[in-house]
Amino acid sequence: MKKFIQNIIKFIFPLVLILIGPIIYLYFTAKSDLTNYKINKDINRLIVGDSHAKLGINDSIISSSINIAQFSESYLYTYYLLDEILKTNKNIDTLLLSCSYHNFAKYYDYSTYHPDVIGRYFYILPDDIKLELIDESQNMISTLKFSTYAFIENLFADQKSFIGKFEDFPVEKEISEKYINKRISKQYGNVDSNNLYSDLNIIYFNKIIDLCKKSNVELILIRTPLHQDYFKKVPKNIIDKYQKVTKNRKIIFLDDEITNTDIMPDGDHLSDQGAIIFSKYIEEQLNIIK
Amino acid sequence: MYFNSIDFAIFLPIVFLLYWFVFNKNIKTQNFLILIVSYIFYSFWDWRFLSLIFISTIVDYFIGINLSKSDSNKIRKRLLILSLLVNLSILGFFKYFNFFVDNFVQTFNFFGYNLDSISLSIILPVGISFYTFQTLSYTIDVYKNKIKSSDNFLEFASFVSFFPQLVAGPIERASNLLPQFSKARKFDYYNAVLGLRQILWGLFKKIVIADNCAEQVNLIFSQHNDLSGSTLLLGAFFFAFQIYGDFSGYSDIAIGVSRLFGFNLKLNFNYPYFSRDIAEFWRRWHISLSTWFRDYLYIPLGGSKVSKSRLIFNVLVVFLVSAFWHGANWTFIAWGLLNALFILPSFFLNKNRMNLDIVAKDSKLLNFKEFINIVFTFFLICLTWIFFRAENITQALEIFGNIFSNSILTIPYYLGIGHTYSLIVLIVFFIVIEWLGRREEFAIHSILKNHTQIRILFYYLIIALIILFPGNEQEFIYFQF
Repeated sequence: MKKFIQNIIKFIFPLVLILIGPIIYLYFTAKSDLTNYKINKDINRLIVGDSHAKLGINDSIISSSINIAQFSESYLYTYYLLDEILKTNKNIDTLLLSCSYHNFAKYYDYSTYHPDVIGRYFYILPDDIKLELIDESQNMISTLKFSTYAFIENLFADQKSFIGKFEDFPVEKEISEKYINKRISKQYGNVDSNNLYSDLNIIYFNKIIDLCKKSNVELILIRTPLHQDYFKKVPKNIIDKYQKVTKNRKIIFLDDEITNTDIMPDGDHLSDQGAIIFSKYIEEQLNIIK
Repeated sequence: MYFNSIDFAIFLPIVFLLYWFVFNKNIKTQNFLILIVSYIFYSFWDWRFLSLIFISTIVDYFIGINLSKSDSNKIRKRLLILSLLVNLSILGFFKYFNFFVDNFVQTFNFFGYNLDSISLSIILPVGISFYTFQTLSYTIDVYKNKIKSSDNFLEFASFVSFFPQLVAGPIERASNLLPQFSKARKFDYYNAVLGLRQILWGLFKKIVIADNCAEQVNLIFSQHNDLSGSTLLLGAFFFAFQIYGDFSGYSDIAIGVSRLFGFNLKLNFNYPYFSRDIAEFWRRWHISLSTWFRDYLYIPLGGSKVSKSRLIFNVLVVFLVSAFWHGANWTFIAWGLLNALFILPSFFLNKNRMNLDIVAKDSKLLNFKEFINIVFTFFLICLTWIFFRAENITQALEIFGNIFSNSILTIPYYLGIGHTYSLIVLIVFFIVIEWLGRREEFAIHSILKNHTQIRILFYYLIIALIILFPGNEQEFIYFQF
C-alpha cells in the first residue's frame, strides 16, 4: 500500500506542477493585466459591448473614442471590466454600450457560461464569480483550459483576451430567409415561454448603469440597426422587455428596417460599409447630445 | 455523481483511504463502508429513489432465504414469481408506464375512440434497469440451485448497491460478485495499478472520444434534413464511437474502481468493433447484458437447438426484449429488430460461432478477408445505431433514405465540420491503441510493459489529451436506461 501511494504521489507531482502551476500563477498575477490597462489620455469615449458594437461601431470615425467590444461579451463581463477601467482611466466620461433586443434574451445566459467566452475573462473576475462560472459552465476542465490558454497568450501578446477592438465583418454572407431563421432560432428560440429573458444580463445592465452614475460617466446605449426580415421575427415580448428595461435611457439607433444586404450581411450585424454609415450617424448624434 | 466529475475525483480517494486505513479491521466494517458510500453515491442523483433499491434488496434477500429453506416446488415457484412481480412492476412503472398508456390511447384514437392521454411525469430512477436485473439474476440462480442464498444482509445489500457498477453496470451475477463480499480483501498492488490504468483509459474514452463525437453527432442529427447521405453516414460513424467510448469507458472506470477496492468485475466490452460478423459483435458488446439474456431468456426458450421457426422466434424475442430493456421507445424496438435481422442468417448457416477468438490473435495485422469482414460488420452496426440515436422512427427513416441515395457519393459537409479533423485523428489514435491491446482485458492493460519510462510518458500523453481535447461534458448515455 505504501509503495502504491508513494508511486501515485510521484506520478502526480509533475502533473500538478505543469497543470496547476499556471493556474495558481495566473490566479495571483492576471488581474494586474486589467488594473494596468491604460487608455490614451486623449480618449474620453469608451465603446463596449458584444459583436454588435465590435463590428458595427468604427472608432476611427467617432472622435476621441476607443472600441474595446468583444464577440459574445455579456454584461457580466462588461461590468467587471468597466469596474476596473473606469477606476484607472478617469479621462473616460462617456460610455457607448451596445444594447439590442437579443441582449435581454435567454440565449445570452448560455453564451455567458460558454467555456470559450468565460476563458477570455476568467482570471480578472472576482473569486465568487469565478466559482459561479465554473459551476454554471458544467465543464470545469474545459473552462480552466480555455482560461489558462487565453491568459498565457495574454502574457506574450499586445492585445489582451478581454479587450476587444473594432473589426470588419469577417466573411461574405449571402442573406437568406433560412439563415435569418437560424439566427433568430439561436437567439430567441429554444426557450420556454416562462423563461424568455436573460435575468443575468438585465441584472448586470442595471449594475453598469449604477457604476456609470457612481463614476460620473454618461451612459449612451447604441442599438445597431437590424435587417427588416430579421427585425420582423424578433419576438414581441422581447421588444417589450427591451423597451421596459431601457426606459428613460439615452439610445442612439437607426430604424430596424434596413433591406440592403451590403450593409446588413447576416441580419443583425453591420458590414464594414454599414459600420461606416452608422458610426457617422452616431458621431452626429453625439454632437447633438453634447 | 458522474465518474468524470470533480465530485467523484474527491469522493474516490476519500473512500479509498477510509476503506484501507480506517475500516480495514474486518470484512463487516469494509462492507458497511461500501454500503454507506454506495447509498451516498446514489443520493447525488436523487436520494428518494434509494427506497427502490432498498425494496429490491429486502424483497430478494428474504425471498432468497425462503427459497433455500423450502423444498416445495410449488412454494419455490411462487416465491420466484413474487420476486419477478415486485422487481418488474417497479421497473415497469417507472420505465414503461407512459409508453404503454400513450400507445394504448393512440391505438384507440386510431380506431375512432377518443381517449385522453394520462401521461404522468415520472422520473426514471438512474440505474434501475441494471440493479433490477442484477437482483433478478440472484433470485433465479437461487431458485435453480445454482448458488446458495445469502444469509448476510449486509453482504447482500452491498452486492446490490455496489457503487462502481450501481448505475450503469456491468450487470454482475451473484455467483461472481456476492462471494467477494464474504472473503477477506487484501490490498493487491498489481491489481490496484491495473485499476488506475483502466480508469485512465475509461476517462479517455468518455471525455475525449465519446464527448467530442457527441458534439458532432448532435450537430448532424439536428440538421439531418439538410445533409447529404455521406454526411449522415459520418454522423452514424461518430455515434458508433460515441456510444462505444461512452459505455465501455464507463465500464472500464467501474471495473477499475472495483479493482482499487479488491473486487473483480466481469468484462463488459471486448473490442466489439473488431468483430468479423454480427454474432461476434454481440458476444463482445455489453457482455453482461447479452449473457444475462442468453442465460435467463434465450436458453430457457430452447436456445438454438430447435426448429428454424422456433429459432427465429427465440432470436426475435431476445432482441426485442433487449431493445425494450434499453427504453420505452419504438426506435429501440426497430434497432432490436434490425439486429435480429442481421444476425439470423448466421444462425441458419450455422456460422454464428465462427469467430470466437479475437481477430488476428497470433499475428500483428489482419488479412484482407478479415479486414473486409470487420468493415462490413461495422457498417451494419452503424446502420443499426441510427435507430438507436434517432429521436423517432420518422427521423431514422429519413436518415436511411438519405444514406441510400445518390448523395452518399458526395463529400461530407455540414456546419461545424471544421472541428472533425482533429476528432478523426483522435479516433485513429484510439483505434490503433485498441488494436495493439486487443488481446488484453482493456487496451492499455500491458502497453509498453517492458519500457517503464516510456509507459509513464504514455500515461502523461493520455492525461494531456484528456485536458487538451475534452468534449462538452455529456451525461453517460446508459444512465437513461
